[in-house]
Amino acid sequence: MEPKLYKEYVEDGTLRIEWRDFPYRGQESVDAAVAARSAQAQGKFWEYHDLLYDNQASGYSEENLISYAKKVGLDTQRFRDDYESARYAGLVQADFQRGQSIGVNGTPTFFINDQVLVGLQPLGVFESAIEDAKREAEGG
Amino acid sequence: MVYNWHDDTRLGGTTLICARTNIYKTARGTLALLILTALAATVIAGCGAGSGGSSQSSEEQQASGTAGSSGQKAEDTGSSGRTAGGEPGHPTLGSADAPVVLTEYSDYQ
Repeated sequence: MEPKLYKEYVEDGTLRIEWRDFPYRGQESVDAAVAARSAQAQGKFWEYHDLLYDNQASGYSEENLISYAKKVGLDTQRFRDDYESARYAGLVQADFQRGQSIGVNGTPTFFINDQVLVGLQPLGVFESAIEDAKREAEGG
Repeated sequence: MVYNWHDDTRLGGTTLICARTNIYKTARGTLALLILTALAATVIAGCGAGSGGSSQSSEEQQASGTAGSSGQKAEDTGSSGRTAGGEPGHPTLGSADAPVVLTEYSDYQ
């Protein structure tokens, strides 16, 4: 997430960001999502998530996913056990199915209260949507 | 904690470009009508149910306006939070009471 959005809206309590997995680009997408949920089980989802994006070009082989777990300070044995047993695959699958059921067909797709943004957007679009949603939530 | 914006366009070495710039709002009039109809039906049926509450996830608000009530509960658990079943909830950042909820469906590729 754009750091400016985080600073402007999350830190002051205006905005909550919720992540949903929508791994539709093949097995590596699914593997990365399951790995991130395994990191989440150890309280380091966002750190792992950031590392995945930072290393998109390197791919998400099992070896890479485990090395990222080490980098963010996870218990690698527990991570490996959770990842290899696909312990959290059901969560990923549930998100995916949920997304499909509400019409998500590509990524990223954002829901900002009752607005939908599809695809990458300039920062100003998010700021405007958040401000609109905030006004509406406040009854304006 | 910094939640880094993932910019697929980095691969192309360019600045942020809208993949699709079609921000669109739902047909609010239609949505309002649907909600009013649903509420009226609920009252008529004698269920006495109230509104969904402000903690409902944004995409769930969308879904309830477009595909009817799914019955899925909003999960406000954070990255380390857990559902009643002991599994992690949805990863979140920010206050559970935030008036604006941004739900992102994404993948890592």
